[in-house]
Amino acid sequence: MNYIDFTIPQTLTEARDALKALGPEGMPVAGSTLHVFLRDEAPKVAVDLRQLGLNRIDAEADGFVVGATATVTDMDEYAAPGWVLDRVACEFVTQPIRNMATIGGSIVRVFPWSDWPVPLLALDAQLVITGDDERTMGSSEFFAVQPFHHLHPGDLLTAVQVPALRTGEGFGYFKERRTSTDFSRCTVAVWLQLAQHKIAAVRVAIGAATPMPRRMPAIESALTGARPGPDAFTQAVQAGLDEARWKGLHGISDDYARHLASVRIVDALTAAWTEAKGNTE
Amino acid sequence: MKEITFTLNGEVRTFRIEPDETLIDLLRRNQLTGTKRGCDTGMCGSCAVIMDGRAVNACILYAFQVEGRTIETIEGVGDFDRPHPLQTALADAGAVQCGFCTPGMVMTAKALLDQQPNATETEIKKHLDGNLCRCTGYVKILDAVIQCAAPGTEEEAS
Ligand SMILES: Cc1cc2nc3c(=O)[nH]c(=O)nc-3n(C[C@H](O)[C@H](O)[C@H](O)COP(=O)(O)OP(=O)(O)OC[C@H]3O[C@@H](n4cnc5c(N)ncnc54)[C@H](O)[C@@H]3O)c2cc1C
Ligand code: FES
Ligand code: FES
Repeated sequence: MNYIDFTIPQTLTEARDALKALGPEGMPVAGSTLHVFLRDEAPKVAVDLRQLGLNRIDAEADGFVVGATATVTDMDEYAAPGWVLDRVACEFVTQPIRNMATIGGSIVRVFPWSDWPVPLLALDAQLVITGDDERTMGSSEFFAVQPFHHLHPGDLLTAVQVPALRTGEGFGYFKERRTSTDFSRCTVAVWLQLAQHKIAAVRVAIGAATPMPRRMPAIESALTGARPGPDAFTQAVQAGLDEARWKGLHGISDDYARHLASVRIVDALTAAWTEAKGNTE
Repeated sequence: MKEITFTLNGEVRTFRIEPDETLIDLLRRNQLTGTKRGCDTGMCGSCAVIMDGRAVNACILYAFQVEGRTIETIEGVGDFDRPHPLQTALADAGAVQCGFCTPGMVMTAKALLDQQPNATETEIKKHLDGNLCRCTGYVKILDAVIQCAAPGTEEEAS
C-alpha cells in the first residue's frame, strides 16, 4: 500500500472521526496481513485499529461477541462450552499470520479462498457495524456483496456475534488444501440441529470452490425435516449442486471444484450430525 | 517522516519512520540484519520477530504498527559468545545448513516455548508450519526444538 501518513487512535470515536475526515483516503489497518493481496496504489492514510480495545471475546447469554480486532490466535486459544471457532482458527495458516490477522480484516474484504465467511454463514453470525449509529446485519446479507460496500467512510466493523452450539446441534468444518500452509481449494461449514432424530434445521455454506462464499439453500431445504444419514446427505447434495457456479482455484478445474465440494459437503454434514447426536442433555 | 517509540530487545528506542515502511526495513536499515527477508509476502517465516510475546512476520508488519509494543529480534536472543539454548540445539543437531531460515526458526520456536515451555511435538509442528527451510528437510530442526521443550513432552515426541 502507498501509505503517505498514519494515525494510531486510542478510542473508537477517534478512529471514526479520523476516517470520516479522511474520506476515501483513509484506510483502516488491523493485522495488515491482507495488504499483500490489495492492489490499490492510490495514496492512503493508515488508521491503526489495534489500540481501540476491540480485541475481546465475551460469552453472553446466546453466544459470543468477538471484537473485530480479536486475532485468529485469540479465537484459536479461546475455550468455552458451545464455542466452535477454534476449529476454524487452527486451520488458518500460518502461526505468525494467526498472531497478526484479525476477524474484522478477514471478512471486510473477501477473496474466494477466505476462510472465515464460510463458518460465519453456517453459524448465521451477526455482524455489528458502528457508524453514526450501530447496526447489526445477518451474515447472508453481509456476504451477499463485497462486505466493504456496506461501510461508509467512518463506519467500522466492530464485532461479530456468534451463536453458541447448543444441545442437539452440531458443527462440521473442512478446509481442503494441497499442503498444510496452502490456501483453501474448497471450504465447507455445516450447522445442523436435530429433533426427534430428524433434521430440524440445517445451514450449509461453501467457499473457495465458488466465486464467492455462499449458502446452499437447495441442499438445506432438501434436508430440513429429513431423517439424517449417508444416503439422505448424498442425494440432497447431488440434487443441490447445480444451484452454485463452481470455480476451481489455482490448478483446480471447475469440475474438480464441484466434485470436491460434493464430497466435502457430505463429510461436513456427517461430522455435524455425529456431533449433534452426541450433544444431548 | 514521523517518530515511533517501542521497546526493542529490552531497550526503549525512538525511530523516525516512513509511513509505508515495514518493520523489516526499519530493523535492517538500523543494522539489525539478523532478521532475514525471504519472500517479503508473509509466506516463509524467515523474517519472524516476537511482538508482545508472539511471533509475527516483520516483512508485512508496518513499522507504525509496533508503536508502544515490545519487539524482540534475533540480536536480542543470543550470539556466538552467548547462544540461546535453541541456537545451541539447532547447531548441535546439524539443523543449520545455509542458515538463512535459522533466525526465523529460532524466533518462532522461542515465542512458543516462552509461552508453553513443555509444548508437544504437535504444537511445535503447528507453530513452525509457516517457516520454510530449503536445505535441511526439517527433521533436524524439529528434533532440536523438541529437545528444547521441557521434559513432559517426550512421550508424544517419541
Ligand atoms: C502468508 C499468509 C497466509 C494467509 N493465510 C490465510 C488463511 O489461511 N485463510 C484466510 O482466510 N486468509 C489468509 N490470509 C489472508 C489474510 O491474512 C486474511 O484474510 C486476514 O485475516 C486479514 O486480516 P487482517 O487483520 O490482517 O486485515 P488487514 O490487512 O489489516 O485489513 C484487511 C482489509 O479489511 C479492512 N479492515 C480491517 N479491519 C476492519 C474493520 N474492523 N472495519 C472495517 N474495515 C476493516 C482494511 O481496511 C483492509 O481493507 C493469509 C495471508 C498471508 C499473507
Ligand atoms: S520474508 Fe517475511 S515471511 Fe517471508
Ligand atoms: S538452512 Fe538453508 S534454508 Fe534452512
